[in-house]
Amino acid sequence: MTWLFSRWRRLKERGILGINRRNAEFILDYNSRALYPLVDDKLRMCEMCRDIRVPTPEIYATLESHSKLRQFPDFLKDRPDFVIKPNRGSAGRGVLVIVGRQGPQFVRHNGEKLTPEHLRQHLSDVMSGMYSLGALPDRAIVQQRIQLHLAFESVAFQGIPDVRVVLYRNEPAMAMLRLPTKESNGRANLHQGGLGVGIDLSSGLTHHAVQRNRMVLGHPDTGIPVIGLRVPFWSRILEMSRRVAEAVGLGYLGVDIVIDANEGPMLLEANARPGLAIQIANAQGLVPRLAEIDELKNAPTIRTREAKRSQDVPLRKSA
Amino acid sequence: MSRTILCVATAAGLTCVSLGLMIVRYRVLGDEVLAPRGPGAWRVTLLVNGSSTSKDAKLLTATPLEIGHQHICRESCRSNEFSNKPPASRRPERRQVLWNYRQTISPGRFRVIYEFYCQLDLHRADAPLPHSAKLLYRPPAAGEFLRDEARIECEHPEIAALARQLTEGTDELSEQVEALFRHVDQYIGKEPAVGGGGLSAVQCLKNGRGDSGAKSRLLVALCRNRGIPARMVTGLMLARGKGQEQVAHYWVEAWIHDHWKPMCSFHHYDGHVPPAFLVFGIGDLPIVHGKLVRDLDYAFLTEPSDPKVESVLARPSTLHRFFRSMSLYALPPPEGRLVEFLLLLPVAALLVCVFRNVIGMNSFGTFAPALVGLAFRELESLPGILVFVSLVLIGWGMRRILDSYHLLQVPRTAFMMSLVVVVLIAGIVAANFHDLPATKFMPLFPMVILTGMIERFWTLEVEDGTYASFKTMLGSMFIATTIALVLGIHALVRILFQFPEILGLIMAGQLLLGRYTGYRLSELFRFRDLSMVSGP
Repeated sequence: MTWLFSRWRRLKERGILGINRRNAEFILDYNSRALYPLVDDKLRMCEMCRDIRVPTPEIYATLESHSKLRQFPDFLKDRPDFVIKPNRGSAGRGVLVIVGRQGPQFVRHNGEKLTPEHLRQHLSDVMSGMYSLGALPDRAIVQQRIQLHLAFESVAFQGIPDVRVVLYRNEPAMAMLRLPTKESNGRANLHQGGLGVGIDLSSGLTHHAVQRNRMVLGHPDTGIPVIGLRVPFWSRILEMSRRVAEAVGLGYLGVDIVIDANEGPMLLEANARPGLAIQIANAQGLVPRLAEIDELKNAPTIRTREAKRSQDVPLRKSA
Repeated sequence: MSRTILCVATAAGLTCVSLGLMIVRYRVLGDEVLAPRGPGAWRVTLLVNGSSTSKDAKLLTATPLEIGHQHICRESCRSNEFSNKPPASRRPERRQVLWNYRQTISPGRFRVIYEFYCQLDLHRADAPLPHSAKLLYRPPAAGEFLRDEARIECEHPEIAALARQLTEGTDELSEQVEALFRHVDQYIGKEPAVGGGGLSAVQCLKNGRGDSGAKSRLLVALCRNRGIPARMVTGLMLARGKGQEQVAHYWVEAWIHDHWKPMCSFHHYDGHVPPAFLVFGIGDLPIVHGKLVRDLDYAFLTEPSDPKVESVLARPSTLHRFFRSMSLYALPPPEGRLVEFLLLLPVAALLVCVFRNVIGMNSFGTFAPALVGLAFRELESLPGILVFVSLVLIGWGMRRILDSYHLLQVPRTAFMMSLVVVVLIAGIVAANFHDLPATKFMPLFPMVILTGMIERFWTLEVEDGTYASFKTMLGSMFIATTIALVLGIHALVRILFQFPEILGLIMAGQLLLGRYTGYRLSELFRFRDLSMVSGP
């Protein structure tokens, strides 16, 4: 029982933000429910990004009804690669990445081949709401496939890394690079086994990495070190994140940005309830940084004693 | 005011109101809060003894009806050897408790206790009937209550001769019934009731004596012989005293012109019977009967509920009358059981909040485990949860096969539900083949939840892997089991029923949990690496 209290105390000292506190003090207090439909709707987000001049992957087509499934081979005939995703999906569910063709078949990012029938079924599932929030009927989006940037070639396995920036009151609070692995089936999702790599906000250099909440030094599939990497276009990424946060209007927001080899950083999506694994990836608690932003904005709301205290404690691995 | 302070203030307000109401109600009603009290309130205990000859033994015990002047509440059934199924609300004319022998107990001696409180309206024996009980007193159909039946031999020559002789010279129905009643009342002697079936109408006539059942059968036979519809009423006489042990009491009702006229030839009541005659059912019914049992014996203990306060409560205050009329004890048994169930839902929801927000355990759906737990609490069959898990796993296997059919989501879910139904029916048939009581383990209630869980299990398995899906399944079942165990505590149900104000306390707890910003226990594990990072 003692270890429980001591661990509790230490997490508090480190300024680790728990899910209850995140929900009660940040999401519920700063994120108006009325704005959720905007961030949960990828098409609306794309329109908004166009207005604020933030680049997003091109949308080739949207499917709204099952009757349109008959036409889908026509609008895909000139596209060797593309991504299918639900308009109101979350956590990468329902995302299908097609990297090429082999005769009539479509080749996935992991080499798996799909028949047009399979693809039609997947589109149908997406439109039925199988992968969407609330399991409500949805639209399927056919989108441009991002090309892997040279900087990530050695640390991404069969997929595209993305940068997650958590913003509080329109200021970047923490960031991490999410790297796909074999275990995550080429997806940059941490809960599926992807790699979370903490990024120093000021320099854009990676400084700490975890997989399934445990610290790692190198990529589990390629063995290449993932610490000390410089994320390209870092200042642009932060600037884009700020612009998106301001335009969306949510006080606590997660922004996912991918870096295309040809077109540079692009907004993939925004998240009104960003997860807390970013703290593990950075080996830092969010609370001190959030308190710092509060001070910066001249409206302290969470300047609690423990936040101040944890600000003064430099993080160091125990011997 | 910050939201947390608002929350705490509201929770404090709710707590004060709830506790205040509890205290005021207790001060006004006294012990009446704990159980129905006052004139006309009785506590009745039925004890049944016997021996079972097989594990398939069954018992049926009659229970009182909920009709105009008699109101039943706080029914409870207890037995180490038998599980029980409460009376069905669909049949208000005959309520019975079905007792099934527990499979884990060897055949042998058993004890079964059925206890209830009843509230009699002493001043209005003819109080209006609830709609459900009106069919009991509807006019007889053509030929109904006029024929011979077991132990009521209305066509027997001796009965016929006596009936003819007693009603000679009068055509008026009421006078005929009067004459028949007078004869049985005055010329047939009284005997105490003992075990066994009791004498038939003819035997009673020949003996010239009989217990209440025998005398009633004779009077019914005489009436029917004269073409007057007549029937027996099975019940219990709530006798005053410090606690009376007794068996069933029988009386008669005859249809005269447009109403059923009650008569008790044993206690000399003609045209009315006292409200203390508690009706168990219409007809010559056994109080207890069973299958694969022997040496059955039973007795009632009837006690006025707290007779000391009767005099005090002779003229209750307005507030007292108000609280009494608002009391949950005033509800008829089916509604009472529904309220019991409803009271448990917020408790189950609070437990889910604790599991989700304090412990940090994941489950399929937010309240699905609560509903599963409640369903199995009703069945008193915790192993049923294992059956439920097995069904989810079988369903998951079927879902994997179904995936290759590429069906649209809604028809696929409908098909899955049909498959689950097929598996359930097959399970019930197989259980019956092996003489296992399947219905104890397979409730119908969570069928939709079951299908939803299979779909979610499959989705999670495909997207996040087998480990994640089994972990969530384990979490769901752990929550459901805990809820079933907690809500299965009878004392908890009783206290909630006695003090429904506790709902306010539960809501206060839910409000406080709504602003709980501490770590979840699971986060202490999740962030364990961060907790090991130390300062200088």
